[in-house]
Amino acid sequence: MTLIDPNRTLGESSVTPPGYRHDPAARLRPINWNRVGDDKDLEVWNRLTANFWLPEKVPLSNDLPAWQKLSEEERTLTMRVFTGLTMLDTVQATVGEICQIQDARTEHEEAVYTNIAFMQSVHARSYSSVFSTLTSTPEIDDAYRWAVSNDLLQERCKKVLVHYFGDDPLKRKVSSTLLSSLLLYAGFYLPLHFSVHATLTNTADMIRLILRDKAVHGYYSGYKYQRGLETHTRREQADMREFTYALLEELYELELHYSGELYEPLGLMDDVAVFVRYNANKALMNLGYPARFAPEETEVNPEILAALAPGADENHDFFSGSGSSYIIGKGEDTSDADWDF
Amino acid sequence: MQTPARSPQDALPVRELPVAQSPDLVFFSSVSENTRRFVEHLDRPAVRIPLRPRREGLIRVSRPFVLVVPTYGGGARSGAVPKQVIGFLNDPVNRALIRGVITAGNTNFGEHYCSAGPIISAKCEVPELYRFELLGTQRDIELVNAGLTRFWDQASDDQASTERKTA
Repeated sequence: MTLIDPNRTLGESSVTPPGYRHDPAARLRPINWNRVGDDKDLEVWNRLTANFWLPEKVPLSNDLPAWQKLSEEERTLTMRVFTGLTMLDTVQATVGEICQIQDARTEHEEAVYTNIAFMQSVHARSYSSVFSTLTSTPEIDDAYRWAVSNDLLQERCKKVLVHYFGDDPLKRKVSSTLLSSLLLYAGFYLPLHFSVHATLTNTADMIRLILRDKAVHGYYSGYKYQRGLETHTRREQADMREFTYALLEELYELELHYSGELYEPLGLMDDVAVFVRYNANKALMNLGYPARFAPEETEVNPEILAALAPGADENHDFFSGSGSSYIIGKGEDTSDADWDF
Repeated sequence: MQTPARSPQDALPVRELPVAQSPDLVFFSSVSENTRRFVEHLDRPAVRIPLRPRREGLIRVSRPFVLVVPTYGGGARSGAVPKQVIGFLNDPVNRALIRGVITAGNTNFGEHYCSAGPIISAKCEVPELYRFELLGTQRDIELVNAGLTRFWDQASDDQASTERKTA
């Protein structure tokens, strides 16, 4: 037994396992979920575990008839788009999330990244489920060869990997948030587009589960980024802001080239670009920054928006309605239990 | 020994806002501060529902207000309304004064996008006035600001005409 100083908290007198790298002599401490310093960690953990899913629960084989009706061009596009998504999720699962563990501000944050990393592996796995359900091994192999030989896809990944392996924790967070909230969306566009045309609707359902997860992942990395950022000087904060907008610009340009090659032949690129800009703005908001693109550049095709969030395209702007008068609350009796739908 | 089930907040101190200090905008924001940032950009007097009622106590307003609230959870109806907001609206005084709700959300949550809005709207029988994503855009801020001004102008017109009729 080694006595520990009773006048110091365990947080002061010990480290979590990732701290071994910096101080092998330090006492190690197990995670304690009954002593949570940042409520957001527990909230996000609970949300992530409640949202857990596996591709096996989505009846992808029901999409076989629709798949067979797609043109050769559409099938190739789908395979390539999904292989590209698999690539990004592989990067995120094996490096992007894991590399943030070393920068965690709390021991619970370390645990949250292990959860997120696993879910990113589930996402990467889910595209393979689509492939094995709908296509053949030679077609799958072709798509993977395409991914490895596509210079733009490689460059997109390496643009964030360089920061994942770099020495700046904040740059890791920005890169991770931009990947989760920007880079993936040109890919997500395609299944949403198909579902608008009542095609591959089960695959689209699976993508909606992925979208739900990505929102939480982007939100969490962005939140922790802001907690980290506020401990830095104004000068450093200004530098990070500049870095973020510059990286966003680079990734956006790359995205237009990469997605242009894929979507241009089907005449979808204009619509895809709007969707990318809309999500780029959301990525910035997750990081606490104002939008980069103007409202008129980010008006997503209402059909796509409806495929994403049914009802979101409806007019929820009561203010612009004419002649509507407000209803006086009737003061219905409510109690906590009432709200627990 | 069993004690009667009581809402844990029954015992918490309540800060009553006098009429002069009771703004017509009430909001909730978690430690992410997203909704607070949106409300700050509106540049109107507003009061925040305490994030940690056990430490900060509760508030009770005394003038009609519009509520700005983020949707929690992300993907499930249960828990969509933050529990602090539920506690605030369970106070009959507060509930009687709500006139409308503005909700933040994220379209990634699909059918649950901004689901706190319709829940509060149905529970309190007030209109859902507006929805925005995350921090809101400059356009959202302009629309909400102009909308709130018209909303309250109309409310005071309605009240004046009611008073004329009953006079």
